[in-house]
Amino acid sequence: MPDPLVRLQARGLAKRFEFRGGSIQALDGLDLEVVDGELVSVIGPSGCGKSTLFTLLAGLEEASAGTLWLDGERCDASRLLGRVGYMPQRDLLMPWRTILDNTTLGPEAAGVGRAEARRRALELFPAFGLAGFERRRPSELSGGMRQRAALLRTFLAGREVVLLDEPFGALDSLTRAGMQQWLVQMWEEHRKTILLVTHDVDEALFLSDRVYVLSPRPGRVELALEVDLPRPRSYGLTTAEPFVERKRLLLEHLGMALGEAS
Amino acid sequence: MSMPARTDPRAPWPLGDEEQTAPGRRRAGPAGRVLPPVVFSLLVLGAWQTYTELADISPLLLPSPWAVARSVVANASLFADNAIVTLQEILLGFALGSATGMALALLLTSSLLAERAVYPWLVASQMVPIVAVAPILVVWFGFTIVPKVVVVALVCFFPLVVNTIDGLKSVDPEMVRLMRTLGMTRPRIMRSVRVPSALPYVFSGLRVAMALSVIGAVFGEWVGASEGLGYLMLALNNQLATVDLFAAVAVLSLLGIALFFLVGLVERLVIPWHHETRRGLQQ
Repeated sequence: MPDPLVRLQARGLAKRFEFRGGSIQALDGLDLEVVDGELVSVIGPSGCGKSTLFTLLAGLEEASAGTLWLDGERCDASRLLGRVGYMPQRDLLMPWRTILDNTTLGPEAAGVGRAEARRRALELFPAFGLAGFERRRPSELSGGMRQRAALLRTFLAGREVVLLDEPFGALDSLTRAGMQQWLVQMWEEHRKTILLVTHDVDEALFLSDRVYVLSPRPGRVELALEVDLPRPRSYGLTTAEPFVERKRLLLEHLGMALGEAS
Repeated sequence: MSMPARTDPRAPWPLGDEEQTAPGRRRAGPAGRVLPPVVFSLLVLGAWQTYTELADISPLLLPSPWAVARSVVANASLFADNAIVTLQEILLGFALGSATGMALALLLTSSLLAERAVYPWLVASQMVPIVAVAPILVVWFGFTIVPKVVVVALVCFFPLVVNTIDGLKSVDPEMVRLMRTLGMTRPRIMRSVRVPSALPYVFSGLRVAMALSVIGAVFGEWVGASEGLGYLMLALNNQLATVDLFAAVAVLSLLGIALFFLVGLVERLVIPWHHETRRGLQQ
């Protein structure tokens, strides 16, 4: 039985994909935990099963082996589905809905009335930098704005634990830096429990309380690094000595992991 | 990596560089849309007119556009009366065929077994020449509007089935997964995700069906009718009234073009986002 403060915990998680002519062991014996109010990152070489991990945690697929707990309750996929917030890499905004109506999908699915769902969403629009764009369609927005709209949709669904799968991966570096800064401020204010997949070491260190480094396939936790850097954080931190030290450590583990792969 | 100092997350977004990418739309004005087809049509008709005059072609073989236009005006009420009959057949058949096609597509996509079992029959139904079936329809339903409506429905229904099935399958699987994590039920995903994604495909099917249904109505009238533009064409052909025959064809064409663009207009009203997105991609 995990600690009551632990929101999400995985023990010995494994996923094997069977197909005609073979199988792929995507994850094998993965352990991780996310404590209430923590922002935790998962990094690893490409193809290490990061996205697979998220489909398991979101309840979209059943694990081949291992155990998952959500809020101390042992859960299979069907019990996780709809209880863990999930934001995929692409924004997946519906082109036929306005930005406002895209963000209210979560409450709508939960049976909240349209007017009430819109009221809740509109309150968050300024904080997400989307004020004035409520009635626009996704095609009229820039990549950064679309990503913020997708984040707003995810947060408005009101899940206690939120999974973000490379949310800023497709953005240019300047926009991404702005988004990271903004996310860290939002998070420091609201203290949501967030698990973030990224391939960006700087992003992982800058945002997180803890970073899990995954090994190449089959994915396992290679290193769990507590990031005890002071908060609130600002971008000046990324060039300071303690940050760089930890970055070196992470890169060494990633490099080693990559070395093993080749 | 210097960032603007910012402490209040509720303050306006700091990066002013990326607010709204959609640039000023380079839309052709009304003149840009109307002028090319008008100029092109005038060129074609002008060449045609000049040719018939210079080569002194008999109007029995190829009437000049001017003669055809005069016939349209002279016989306006005759054409109008018959056009209304044909228009009724087209609209009823189009509505019946399209609705059946869409309903069948919904049914087939909800069951893989049903789709596999029925799909070959759908394709086979299109191999049956309408010319062969139409006389039997007349035997079944008599000299009423029914056989014509059925013929039109038969040609309409196939593009709708195929396009609607493709459309319902075109939905982004990632989108469906996301909706499941948001707690959406399957019927709701059908309504909120699959059906809207399918609409652009449905409208492509509707446009094809509308074009086909005009021919379908004429076919239906040829087999057995006492009024309608198709019937009129047959009668004029028998009388060797080539000028008036061309005039009837012209009226039918105009009717078809109007109906085709009407579908396009409805599409713009129903799924404006589709055109906005496409325009966005072109830029």
